[in-house]
Amino acid sequence: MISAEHIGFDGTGTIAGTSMPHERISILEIVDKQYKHAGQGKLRQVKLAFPPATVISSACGSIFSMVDRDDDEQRRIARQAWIIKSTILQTMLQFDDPRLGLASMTEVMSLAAAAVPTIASPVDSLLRMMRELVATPSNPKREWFLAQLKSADKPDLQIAILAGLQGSGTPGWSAAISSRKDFLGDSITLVRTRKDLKDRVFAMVVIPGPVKFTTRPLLHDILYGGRASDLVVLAYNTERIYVPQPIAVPIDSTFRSAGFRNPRAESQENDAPDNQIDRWANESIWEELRSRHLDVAPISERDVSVPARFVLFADGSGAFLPDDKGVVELSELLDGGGNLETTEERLPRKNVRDLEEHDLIMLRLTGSGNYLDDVADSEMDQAGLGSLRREATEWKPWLHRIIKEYGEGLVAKAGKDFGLRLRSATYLWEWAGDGVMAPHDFATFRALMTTLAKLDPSGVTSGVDQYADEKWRQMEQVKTFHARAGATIRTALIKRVKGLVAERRLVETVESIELPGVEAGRMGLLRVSAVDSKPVRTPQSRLFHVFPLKGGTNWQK
Amino acid sequence: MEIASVLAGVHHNRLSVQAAGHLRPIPDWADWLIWLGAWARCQAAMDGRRVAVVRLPSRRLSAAFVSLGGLLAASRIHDDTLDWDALQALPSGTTVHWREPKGGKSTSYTGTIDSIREIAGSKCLAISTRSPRRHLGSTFFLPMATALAYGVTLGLVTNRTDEQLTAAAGLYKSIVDGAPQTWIRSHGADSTMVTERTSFLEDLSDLALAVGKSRAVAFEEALVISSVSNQQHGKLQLVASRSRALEDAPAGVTVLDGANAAIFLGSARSRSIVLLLDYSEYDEELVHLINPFIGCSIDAGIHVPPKGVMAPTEGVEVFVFGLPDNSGVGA
Repeated sequence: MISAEHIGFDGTGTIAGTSMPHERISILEIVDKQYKHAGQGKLRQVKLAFPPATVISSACGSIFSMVDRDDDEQRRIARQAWIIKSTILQTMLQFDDPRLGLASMTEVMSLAAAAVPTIASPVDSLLRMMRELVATPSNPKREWFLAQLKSADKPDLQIAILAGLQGSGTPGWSAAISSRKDFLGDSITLVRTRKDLKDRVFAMVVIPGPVKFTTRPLLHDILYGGRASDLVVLAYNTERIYVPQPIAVPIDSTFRSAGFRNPRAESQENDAPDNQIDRWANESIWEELRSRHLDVAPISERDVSVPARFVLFADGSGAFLPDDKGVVELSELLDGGGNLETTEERLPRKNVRDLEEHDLIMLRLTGSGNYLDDVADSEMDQAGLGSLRREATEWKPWLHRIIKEYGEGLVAKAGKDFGLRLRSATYLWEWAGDGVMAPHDFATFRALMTTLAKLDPSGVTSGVDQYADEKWRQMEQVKTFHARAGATIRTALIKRVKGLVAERRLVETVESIELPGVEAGRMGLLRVSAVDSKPVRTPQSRLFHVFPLKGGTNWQK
Repeated sequence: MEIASVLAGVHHNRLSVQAAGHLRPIPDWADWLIWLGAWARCQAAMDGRRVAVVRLPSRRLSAAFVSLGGLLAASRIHDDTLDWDALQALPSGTTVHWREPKGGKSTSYTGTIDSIREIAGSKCLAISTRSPRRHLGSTFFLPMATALAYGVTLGLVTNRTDEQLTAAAGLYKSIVDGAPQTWIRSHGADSTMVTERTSFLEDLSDLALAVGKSRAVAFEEALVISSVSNQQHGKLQLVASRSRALEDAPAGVTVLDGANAAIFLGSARSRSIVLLLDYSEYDEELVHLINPFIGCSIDAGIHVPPKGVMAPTEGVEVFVFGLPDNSGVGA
């Protein structure tokens, strides 16, 4: 159960947990600790009384409700109000720290609000409070944390602070903040992404604000992955803390008695004004991006839509990437610590849905569509087989036409008589599109061809078995070219990556990569800045297409 | 097969784990995962099909312990005569490998199955030899006992692999009552694991297993991993999560390690599937993926030992469901 402590401005508590020496810990010990923490760890909610937080929340809520968010200027004011509120409530620095920029925010807000007289009163109250905070900069969250450190009196106590409350743009937690300099401890870790948790367990993890917009994998890893024996949600009285519960697993009769009790949230989500402005600020950008691309029409009938996630890159560009596919991800290799003996077969990949900020992924920078296909096509051309792909897949338009005429259910039903076994009739659409080449075995493919010939005999002139044999053979040839193209790309890429590592080159935003001998557009390594939490259906032709975004990378500012 | 007697004969609690040079008793959670793998493997030899979905604080190392449990149980329920049946059923022309012990060493042979011949009243496996070169073209006749003792395998057994098999067989013998020494060299893989290969092997790299004061065996060796790409013999085939298709060993346990591996739930052929997930992976998408299987689940096919199941450790959640034969998952 979550426990709550209500502590006054100068209140202190004690840190649970033990110190851990700096010696190398085996993976078994780490995992063992995770199990122990998950079973016995506790989640505490520490509520701090801090009247200025109430004033600021209230003023920002009023500003948000009064402005016209269809107006660009007023929308900017609403966003600025959210940034101010979130910076003050979430930071653990002194309020006069120049990296928070409260003084400059005061100026900006003052100027912007002058044009909107209706919000003069809440803006006045907000600005007054901001000036007071800069003048008397003591931060209760910081004071509480430093008091904990002092009372623990164990310099090597491993403590983490969840700095990635809202991803890379978390107000109050700029990238310039350092755990060592700003929190006076070598054993303190600022956790911004899941990478910061790798091979780590802690005595305590401090969550310095609401987690509603923290990425799910990161948050669930911290809350339920046994990362610490003591999880502390540090919040002002005015902050509404909602701790998400894991999805309940079904209960079966075999293991019925073996239930596991998860930490429970004390307070539930509600729709208070605070939550409204937070939700708007965190979701409006993505909603805008999604809506901008919802009306993109497929380029052909075979250009089927698939679930895709929008990924923002640090250079201000973005791309839709297929949600259920993987991309080459090289951050561990290039940012140090990775295994340089990576072979062509082991190029690290990551699923698009698992991508997080600071990942470094490989995409083509020029051209569009599937790079592998293009390299394979180029190799087919060189081998004098320029029409092989078209010939091998000429049955796809035939299948597409028949599905449209009869419907996939009827085609699947007709196919049963010929041994066509499908778990779902929607597979037919997949086969008709360009996403997959063919059914995974020849028997299924032959049954499919027989079904098509039965429903539309005009599609095949020779015997259907002979036709299926020929197309299958051609598709196998195409797959061989794909495999060869994959090897060519991997070899060239690994060579280039090793070169980058040798040059000790850090990729901040984007690194263009020329792959000698590979002629199908320019490749690049792109640093991920943020990833949409929700997938949207996007035509396949739009995938992997990197395009610049209006407004640059500073998307939360 | 008596599930209780098989499980009782697998003394996984005798195991110690050596990590970063220190030997320690096996942790409770690992002990439970080994039990789960052994239980799933026993059931794979029984009627019905079933899936166990396990949610863990951390998925790291869990697939290794579940697979180890599966292999320990497999060695316990192994039946030599079925190996011989399987060898006889191999199509003519199949490439096979075996090692003939000579003194303290052994010689590696490769050949192709020719036929089954009857010599002096007993059936022999006739194999046309391809290597060593000096035996090229000659035919070897291996009677049942010799074939099983040598271990005729589909994958190659190098000197190094041979040493590893011997070490693993020694470990199994000290854990499993009556574990036959021939099982580890019997042809083909027993079980399958779908995982992120590189990180999985990296995690195992500094771990070893031991019983009592015996020499520790590297965890990777104890899993007797086969390599499809190098055609190396082993009892546990490792399939990369990013593979396009899965051809798992139908007689054993198939361990799906993580959300990326869960997509193979529909194509796995094994009668016992264990899906391992951590909390961050068990999301709406995963629920959407497994719900159709739960929707067609049945009560039959779950064979609970007479004394009940072993309760998971704190922090671990598990549910098991049966599936109808020839429908639903794979089949």
